[in-house]
Amino acid sequence: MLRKLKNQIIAQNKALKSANAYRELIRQEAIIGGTLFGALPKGHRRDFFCLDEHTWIWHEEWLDHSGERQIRTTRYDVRPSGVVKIQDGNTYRAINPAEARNLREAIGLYYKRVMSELYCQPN
Amino acid sequence: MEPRNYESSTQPESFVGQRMFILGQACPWAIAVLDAAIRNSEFITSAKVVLGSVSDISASPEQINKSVNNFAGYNKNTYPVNSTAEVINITSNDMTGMAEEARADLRLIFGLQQSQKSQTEEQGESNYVA
Repeated sequence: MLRKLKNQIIAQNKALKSANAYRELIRQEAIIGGTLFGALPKGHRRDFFCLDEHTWIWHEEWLDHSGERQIRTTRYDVRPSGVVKIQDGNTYRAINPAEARNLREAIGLYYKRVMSELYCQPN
Repeated sequence: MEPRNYESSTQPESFVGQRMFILGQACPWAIAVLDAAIRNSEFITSAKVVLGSVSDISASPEQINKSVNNFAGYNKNTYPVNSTAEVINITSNDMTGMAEEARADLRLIFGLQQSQKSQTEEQGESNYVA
């Protein structure tokens, strides 16, 4: 009984450790992803990352003129029929050709940078 | 076009390996979908430009078809079907589908132009009568 409980705790700890490590990897990817679009003005924070197999996130935070923090999160869903985005909980809409080109460029760079800088994989 | 099998039995056990595996699937997949979307939008946009060159709105359906077919040939040359075969499997059916879509677009625009011409002519006639 005690051994079973011990094994359960070990398994739970292992799963928690893996989940935390996995989240940390995504966080590091997001930092690299945030640098793909050039220098940020002071007070800005930008994260861009691959959440899962078909979801990409662009998160941006900045201070407006009155010094209030503004946050905008854009989620891109990759579907076989194309890419749609949802911004700050609004409805889904298809991305326009210019945005599609920018997103494509960003994903290509993201893959190269993350693979070489975080996972030490040559491209 | 479908995403590759994410549930592959070759999926590594370590979390770093899992993450790299997901990126290896997700990035080429997203790029392939975006490539197709961009290619399709460029095809349609260019098709409209081609129609713009058919300035004589009395052009016969054969002339319009010729323009569209010339454009389809140009598009195939610009984007060779086998150039992205590793990432995205574009078949001749996809190309036919895109060409059909462009044709429908052209018909719509051409139809509108004809309708505008008819309206102008009718208005001209009524003005003349008045």
